Amino acid sequence: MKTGQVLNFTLNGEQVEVLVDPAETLVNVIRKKLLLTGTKRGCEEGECGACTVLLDGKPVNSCLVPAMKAHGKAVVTIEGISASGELHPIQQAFIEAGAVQCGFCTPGVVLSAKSLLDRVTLPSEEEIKTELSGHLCRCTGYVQFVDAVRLAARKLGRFHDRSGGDGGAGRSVV
Amino acid sequence: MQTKHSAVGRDADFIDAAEKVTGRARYLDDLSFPGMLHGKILRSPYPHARIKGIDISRAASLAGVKAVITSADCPGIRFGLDNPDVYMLAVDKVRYAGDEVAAVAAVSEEAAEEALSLIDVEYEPLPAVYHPAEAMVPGAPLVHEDKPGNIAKIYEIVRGNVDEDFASCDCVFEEEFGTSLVQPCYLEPFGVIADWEPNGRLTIWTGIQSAFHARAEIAKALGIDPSSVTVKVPYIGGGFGGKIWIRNFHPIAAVLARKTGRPVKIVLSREEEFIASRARVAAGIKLKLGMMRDGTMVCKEAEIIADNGAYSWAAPKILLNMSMRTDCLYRFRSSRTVSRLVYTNHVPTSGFRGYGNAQMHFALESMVDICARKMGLDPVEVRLKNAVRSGDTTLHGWKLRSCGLSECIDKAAAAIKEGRLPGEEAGGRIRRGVGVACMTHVSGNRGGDNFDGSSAMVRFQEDGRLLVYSGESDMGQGARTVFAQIAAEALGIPLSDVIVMPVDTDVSPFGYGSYSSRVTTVGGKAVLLAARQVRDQLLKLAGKLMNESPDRLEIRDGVIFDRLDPGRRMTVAEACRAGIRTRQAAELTAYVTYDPPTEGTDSDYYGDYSSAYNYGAHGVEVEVDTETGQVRVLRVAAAHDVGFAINPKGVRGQISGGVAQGTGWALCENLVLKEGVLQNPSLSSYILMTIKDMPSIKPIIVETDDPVGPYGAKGVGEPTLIPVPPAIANAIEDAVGVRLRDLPFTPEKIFRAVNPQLKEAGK
Repeated sequence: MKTGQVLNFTLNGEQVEVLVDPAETLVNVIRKKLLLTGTKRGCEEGECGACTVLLDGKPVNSCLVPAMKAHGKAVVTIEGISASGELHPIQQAFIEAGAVQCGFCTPGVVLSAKSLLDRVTLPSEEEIKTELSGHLCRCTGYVQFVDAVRLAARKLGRFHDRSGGDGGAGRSVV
Repeated sequence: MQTKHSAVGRDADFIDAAEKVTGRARYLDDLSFPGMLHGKILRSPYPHARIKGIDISRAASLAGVKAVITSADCPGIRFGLDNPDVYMLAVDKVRYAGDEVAAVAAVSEEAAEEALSLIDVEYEPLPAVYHPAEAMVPGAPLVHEDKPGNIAKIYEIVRGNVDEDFASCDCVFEEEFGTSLVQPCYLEPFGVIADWEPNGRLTIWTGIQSAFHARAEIAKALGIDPSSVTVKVPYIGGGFGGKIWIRNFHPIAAVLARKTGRPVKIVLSREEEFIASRARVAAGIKLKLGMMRDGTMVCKEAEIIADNGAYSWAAPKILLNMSMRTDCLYRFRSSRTVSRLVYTNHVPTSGFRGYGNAQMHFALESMVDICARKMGLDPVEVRLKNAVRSGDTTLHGWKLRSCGLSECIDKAAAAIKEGRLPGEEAGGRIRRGVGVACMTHVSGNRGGDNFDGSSAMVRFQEDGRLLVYSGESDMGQGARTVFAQIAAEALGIPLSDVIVMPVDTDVSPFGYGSYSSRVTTVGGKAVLLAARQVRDQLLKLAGKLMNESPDRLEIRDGVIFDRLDPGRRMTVAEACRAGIRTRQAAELTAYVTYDPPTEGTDSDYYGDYSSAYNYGAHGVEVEVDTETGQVRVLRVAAAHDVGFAINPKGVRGQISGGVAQGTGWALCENLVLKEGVLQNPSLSSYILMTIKDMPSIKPIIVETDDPVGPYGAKGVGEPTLIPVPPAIANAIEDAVGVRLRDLPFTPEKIFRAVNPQLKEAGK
């Protein structure tokens, strides 16, 4: 039998305890042990960004992160940003901007966009490109990503104006 | 056009985008089944070697390993398309570094991976061939013993009297071009789950573009009947031609599943996607063009030598496209092409967006600029002067029922000239230039007199929503949405009331699949005809229920009403419910098989074989840093004749995606092989375009209302990539006055071309 370590962390707002192999990556724990398959495996070498999750609010390639690095921390996956089945304004913006084709890179890109918009209310084109430069997309040619993040910023702005809330983003991750 | 339609011709959000953006869309690797095992494949490290022995005993005894197989466990069947030349696991010898040698099924990926390292294979390396020209030399090592001269395919296609025409030309030009090996690099690694049902049937889950071809080929490889195989297609994370055809891992998973009695999943690693997937056919192209002083293009001669790699899947068909299609871009009087596809000990090649056509476009559209410049003519004017037009029958017998080539050239050239940046900056270090290239492609592909059609089935549910079944896959390009728009338009129901079902060969009607940019044009037409048929059924039923003649009834926004007395109405849902929950149930189901009105080609490949022909032109502006050789594409104006844009948002997405892939091919993507071994099998060393590299893109949609396609639509998937590399080459020459003839245009090549005096400096 392999020896396991107990990993305790917050996943999408819920406390989770799971036995992991020391060599196991966060993406594999999320996908195989916790059965959340919205986080994708595109290269397992940290180059494509499809496995991006938010670790204490910051986007990371979960294929490069040993699962135990998440111990005591908060992880948000794509399943965690839309409360009660409602689309998050960023998700809605990606759909409307035509930024979704095959959809395989989309969860990771949406999470990076969220990380950016959590920090910057109205990011410039350059800031958007810098934030998303770690994501490969083979379908769209990326131009719709910029449109989507700008549209999302407008949607979130309106949301803030109305409710003063956190944009319907579900649980705070910091 | 916008006003007369309710669902087509309007920007539609992809109907499956919500599943994708929430992570709920399930791709192959997101599926698992009770008892499922994980398969891994042992691949040859040698480009060419005899297998002297395989010892699986250490691997088989590893904890968690349930099966280890070699060719001895597989049916001894060679499969493939034109040249069935591949066993699922190598028999006696391996032919490229990556060739499948053995496979393992284990309880975890980690155990399967570890087992691979415990399989002992004794190889005897053999002399290998790495270049098609060397491979054709008499006495060269043979990749396949039954393929003399390593020839996989030869075409000689002649139209008109090309020798006489060359003799009559004012100017004759000759040039040579080379294209590189590139991978489709879809984001979702290709994979499969195979499971044998208790009744003896095989179920295959795989994100494939062509489920029915897959069913036939998997059955062929296993030596069983196609009807014993079901292919179910989950969400596909991109394909671009690379997922049209099965790979060895499909039947390998089936053999592992049979041996273990459990479902087996194989998903390629990204490294395997590089070393053992099928790359774009790389070709050396000699081109000769005969012209008159006024710019008339008279005749064209081409000699192509293409690297097939170790196994031939669709490569012969790709070579055929490469040999012919560009002859239908201009009004040539004659042409002659001799092309050879040659086996080497390189990674096998097959389809990738453009399917051979893109390679020859690079050569010809570069050539047009070279010749025009030499003659002192404007390349754009030369293109316009020679462009084929609607109503033409081209040199190879294509009947152009719609053709917006001239309009595309005009619009792309005008758009790229607008708002140009300064030609020079930083004291001449930065130089900028513009270039134009155009293209033609198909929307469908009838080989010989074969079927080139598609079938669709539509079924109303009792709540008034419609299920659409097609055999054509959506690989992310938006086919589901286009089908839904077409059905909604034809029926007068809201788009949200149409559900497009996943492809399942047991359930879906027959379809060839998503290739040849045929899905909207051919698959969409089948959906349109099926929707019209079910509309007739619905109106007949409603007529009965409303006691009204069906021809007085119309449907709009999901409501059936009397055209002459609009107050008399019932909803589609009410009619469906009444029609289904009754002893005299109405069918409310239509199944239509549609085959476009083309006759196909004769034995000499002459004839009208595509439902429609697509045309387009790109203008690009580039910036060259003469000190580093770095090229940046700044702007692209991409005009495409799509007949009619059913979903303009989808068309724009195809354009920006095609521009990204085409720019990557031109500037940075390249599989580097050293003595047959891939040197850059990783996304860190095989460079794709990122968001920071993208030019600004102006999509220009040209509509020519094709008389055959649904609502006048033609395809656009592949066309958007095709003109990109030559347009960039033309723009580079405009910027710095050097002509690049070999893809990719790396900084080193450009630096050396711009600084010829430094050529020997390193030596």
